[in-house]
Amino acid sequence: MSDDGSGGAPHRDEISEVEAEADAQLPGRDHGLARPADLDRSSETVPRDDTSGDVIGVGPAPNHRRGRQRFLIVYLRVTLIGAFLIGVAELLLPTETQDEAGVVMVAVLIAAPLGRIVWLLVRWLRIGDWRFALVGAVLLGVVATGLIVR
Amino acid sequence: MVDLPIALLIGLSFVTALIGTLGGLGGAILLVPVLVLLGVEPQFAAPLGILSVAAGSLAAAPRHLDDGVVHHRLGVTLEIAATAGAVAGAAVGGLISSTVLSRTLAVVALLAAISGVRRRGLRNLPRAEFSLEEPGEWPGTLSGAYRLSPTEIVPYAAKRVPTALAAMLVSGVISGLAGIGGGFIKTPAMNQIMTVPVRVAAATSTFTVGITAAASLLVFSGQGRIDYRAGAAIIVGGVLGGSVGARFGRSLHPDLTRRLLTVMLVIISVILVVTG
Repeated sequence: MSDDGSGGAPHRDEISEVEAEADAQLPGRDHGLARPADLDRSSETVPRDDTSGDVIGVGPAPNHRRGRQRFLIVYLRVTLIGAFLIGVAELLLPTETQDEAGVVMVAVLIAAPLGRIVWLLVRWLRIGDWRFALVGAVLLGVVATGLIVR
Repeated sequence: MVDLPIALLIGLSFVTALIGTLGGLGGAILLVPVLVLLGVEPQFAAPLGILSVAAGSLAAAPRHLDDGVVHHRLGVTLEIAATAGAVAGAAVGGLISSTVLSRTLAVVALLAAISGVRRRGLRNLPRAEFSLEEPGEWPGTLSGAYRLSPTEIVPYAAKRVPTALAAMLVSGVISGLAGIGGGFIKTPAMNQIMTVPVRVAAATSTFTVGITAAASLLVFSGQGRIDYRAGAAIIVGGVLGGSVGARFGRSLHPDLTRRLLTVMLVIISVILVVTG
C-alpha cells in the first residue's frame, strides 16, 4: 500500500482546506477506473456559466449505492434487533438456559461486522477490485487469530 | 464475576450510551470507568465495555450506510492494524494486575477528555467540477466524495496511510486493554492525519470499532471473561440509550454535551488514579 493510499500512483489531488488547489486530475483515474461522473464530464452535457465555467443549475445525481447497500442495511438492522431480543431473553430466561442465550447474543454481535466484511469482499471480487478484496481477506484472517489467542 | 444488580447495569448502560451518543464519544468510555468505580474488576469491566461498543457500532451502521458516508475500503485497510492491536491488548489485559488496568483506564479516560475538548476537524471544501459525482467511495482507491448539500459534493483522498496505521494499532491495543471503542483516536487520526472529512471519518470509525470489538470479544470469550447476564443487561440498556440519544441528539447542543462528558471523564480519571 502506498503512502497516499492511491496504489503507488502519483497523487495529484490536494483537497483539504489547507491545500485546496484546483487540479483537474482525479485520483481514481490513475487506476483506469471510469466512474459515471467522469463519463458525464467528458461528454460535456453539463450546463456551465459562460464567464466562470462553473457548473450551474444541476441537481444531485441519483445515488445508486443506496440501492446496492440495501441488503447490508437490512442485515445489520435484523442482527441488531436479534441481539437485543436475545439479550432480553437472557435476562428473562430461567438460570439454567441463560448462558446459552448469552453465548448466542455474543455470537450475533461478533458475526454482524464479520458478515459485513464478507459481503464487501464478495462485492469487491465481483467488480474486480482484487487489491481490496485481498485486504478484506487479510482482515478476516487477523480477526480469526482472536480464536487462538488466550 | 459482576455482582451489581441487573437493573443498575441496565440503567448505567442506558445513561452512559445516552450521554456517549450525545457527546459523540460512544458509551463505553464512560461505562467502563464507572463500572470499575462501582467495584467491578477491570478484567471483567472491559468485556462489558466492548459489548456496548459492538452494539453501538451495529446500531449506528444502517443510518451511516443510508447517508453514504462510510468508506469501507479505508475502514477495512486501517482495521488490519487496529484488530491486531485489539487482539494483543485483550490477550495482555487478562495477565496484568487490576491496579495497572485501572490506571491505564484513567489515562485513557483523560486522553478521551482532551480529545473531546480539542475536537476541531479539518474542513474539506466542495468542488464545482465534482457536482455530478456520485457520493461514496471510489472503487480501487482510498478516495471518495460525499454530499455536503443537494448541489455540493466534497471530494477527498486519504493520505499518509502508514502513519494512520500506526495510530490505529495504538487505538486497537487501548481498545483491547481498556474495553473501549477507541473512536476518540480513530476519528481524529483519519481526519487530521489522512485529511478525510470528519463526517466520513466518524462514520468509518463507527464501522471499524465494531470489527475491533468482534476480535476482542473472541479473545474475551476464550479467556472466560464475559459475564453473559451482565452483558445482556449492558446490551439492552445500551441499545435503548443509544436510540434515545440518536433521536434527541439534534435538539441538544453537541458542544455543551461534549463539555459535560469531558468534565465527567476528568473526574472519573482522577478518582481512578487516587483509588487505583
